[in-house]
Amino acid sequence: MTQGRNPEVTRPAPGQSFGAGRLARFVKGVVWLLVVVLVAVSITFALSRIVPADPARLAAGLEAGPEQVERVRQDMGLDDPVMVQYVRYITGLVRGDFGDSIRTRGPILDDVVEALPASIELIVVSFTIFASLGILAGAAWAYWPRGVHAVLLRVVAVAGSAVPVFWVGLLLQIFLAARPDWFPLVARLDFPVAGNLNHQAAGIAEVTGAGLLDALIARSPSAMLEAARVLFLPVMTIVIHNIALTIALMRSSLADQLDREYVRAARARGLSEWRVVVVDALRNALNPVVTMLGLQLGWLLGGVVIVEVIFSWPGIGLYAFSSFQSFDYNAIMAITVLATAGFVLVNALVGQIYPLLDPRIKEAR
Amino acid sequence: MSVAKLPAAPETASPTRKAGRGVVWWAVGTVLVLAALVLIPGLLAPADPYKLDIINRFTPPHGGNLFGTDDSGRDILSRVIHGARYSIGSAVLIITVAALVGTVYGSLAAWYGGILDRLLMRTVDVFLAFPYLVFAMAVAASMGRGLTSTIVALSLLWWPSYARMIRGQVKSILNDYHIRAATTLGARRGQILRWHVIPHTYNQLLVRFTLDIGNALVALTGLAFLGLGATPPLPEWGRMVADSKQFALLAWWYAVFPGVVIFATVLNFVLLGEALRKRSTS
Repeated sequence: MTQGRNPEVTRPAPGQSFGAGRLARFVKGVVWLLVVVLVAVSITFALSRIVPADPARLAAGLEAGPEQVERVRQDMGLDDPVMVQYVRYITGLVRGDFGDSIRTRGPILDDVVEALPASIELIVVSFTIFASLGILAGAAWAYWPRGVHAVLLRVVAVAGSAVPVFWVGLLLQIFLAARPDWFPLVARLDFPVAGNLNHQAAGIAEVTGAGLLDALIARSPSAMLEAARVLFLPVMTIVIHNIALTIALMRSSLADQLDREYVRAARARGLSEWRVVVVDALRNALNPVVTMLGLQLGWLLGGVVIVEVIFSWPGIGLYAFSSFQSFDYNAIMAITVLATAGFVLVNALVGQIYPLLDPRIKEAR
Repeated sequence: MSVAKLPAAPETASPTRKAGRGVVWWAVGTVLVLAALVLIPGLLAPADPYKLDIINRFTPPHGGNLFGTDDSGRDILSRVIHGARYSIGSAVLIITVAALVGTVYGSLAAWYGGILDRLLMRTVDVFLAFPYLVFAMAVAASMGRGLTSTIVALSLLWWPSYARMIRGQVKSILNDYHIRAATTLGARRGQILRWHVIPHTYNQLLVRFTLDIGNALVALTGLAFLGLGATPPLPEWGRMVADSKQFALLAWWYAVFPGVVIFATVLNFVLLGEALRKRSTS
């Protein structure tokens, strides 16, 4: 994006990057992150203590007698005063200890680390597709506002934002995976299942846990194709819902820029259309779109749960879902903490993109 | 949402142009249809939504069962009609609570200003920094399954955005000339807030309210789809789609029709909201 611009303006010199102002901003950001996570934990914690369900009862199992349940309760520390439990939980978090899962009986962090790659693969691939396609389509719509494509894009933009994600996923399954079996559906016995790439069947080693990446590492084109086929429907589901907002916002943002004086002035000076529209107007128009894409990522952290449940995608969303189902409150809180921290971090990173798009923002800080 | 610092233009009664009038009829029609579905589903539904009829399970759509029947032989159309009370009713409830709390909170912050304002708005920022769907799931799951916990979870998440919007509006209205006039004439503070400030926020509030009912319906049915919402046998729409999942190969209509109804309802609110926004800005 910096092409054709004075590089000194947009990129700070290496020595400047850790100035006092920057450090202060960094510290402020970290404090903010901690506050947000702490509030999220406290709310979830408070609510999980006023509910009728009894975690000890669930952990002890159905056959357990009253004494056994009582022993489990003591082991889990559930008979301590609530404030003691709260402080214990927070100090555990500070040490990076999320506690044990009631359901899988292992440390939650291990479960999360195992499930994370599959989710990151799904999120990164979907995000890349809907962000780039959405920006392109929205820009094209703003530049050529009339025509068949404009009508089509309007339908996509309106319908996509109104359609429930879980329903899209289910329809795609019924009409693309089940009737004509173009895409994998039954990787396991229980219907509707697409699941992640089966590494053994594809004959490749599981290095990262993300199918596409592992196939790339194994240099196996057939495994890559299979991984892409497996990814296709879940990714489509996310893209259909999320591309709508991107298209609509990109269109209105660029259309607004194209109306401005500076565009007319640039054209009057005889600059090339490419230079005026893509280098100048598009760059300015991207600012609100970037903000929205950051928020979309926050939505994705939750939306991915729905998509993973529909397609039995073995990621963090499916793990979250199973935790909800079994009232595994330790896991639920761990997921809340991680998702909240992830969302705050993503938005902090998004904040770093603005100065690249608009150097004035950096100077103003 | 940035609010211009310029004094707001005085409100003028929008001209009753044809387009504007169409939107009003549309809104009235929507409210009437939904009110009928929520209040008197028994009169509209062709059959009992809870009546089991195992022999006629998975009947494809036909004259007697326009939407077909489900895995227990219940009429899907009747269930959808009865489900409006739970799905739309809950969405309206969530947004009403959020709008009320947000309006009071936001106007207090704008009215008192200073440290209180900073404190209140910082709290709002914290809430807006949550990944809302994950947070709603966590809250709904922590409180135990059921429609009530989902409603609480979503209301808890929705009010901060109203608080921020209303605060911005009230702040700009307070700079307005008619407020100065009212102050000069000796109106009490509460009076000014109630009669000269809040009414000016109604226009934008209505637009937002309409759009958000659609959004809340998507969120609510999404949570219900994950089992965090209405419990069986309540015919809540998201729940119906969730139940249809395991029979999707056997009975496509079971998954399709409740989903179509959710989609159509949300679409209606989105388009109506956009139309209302155009009407209020033109």
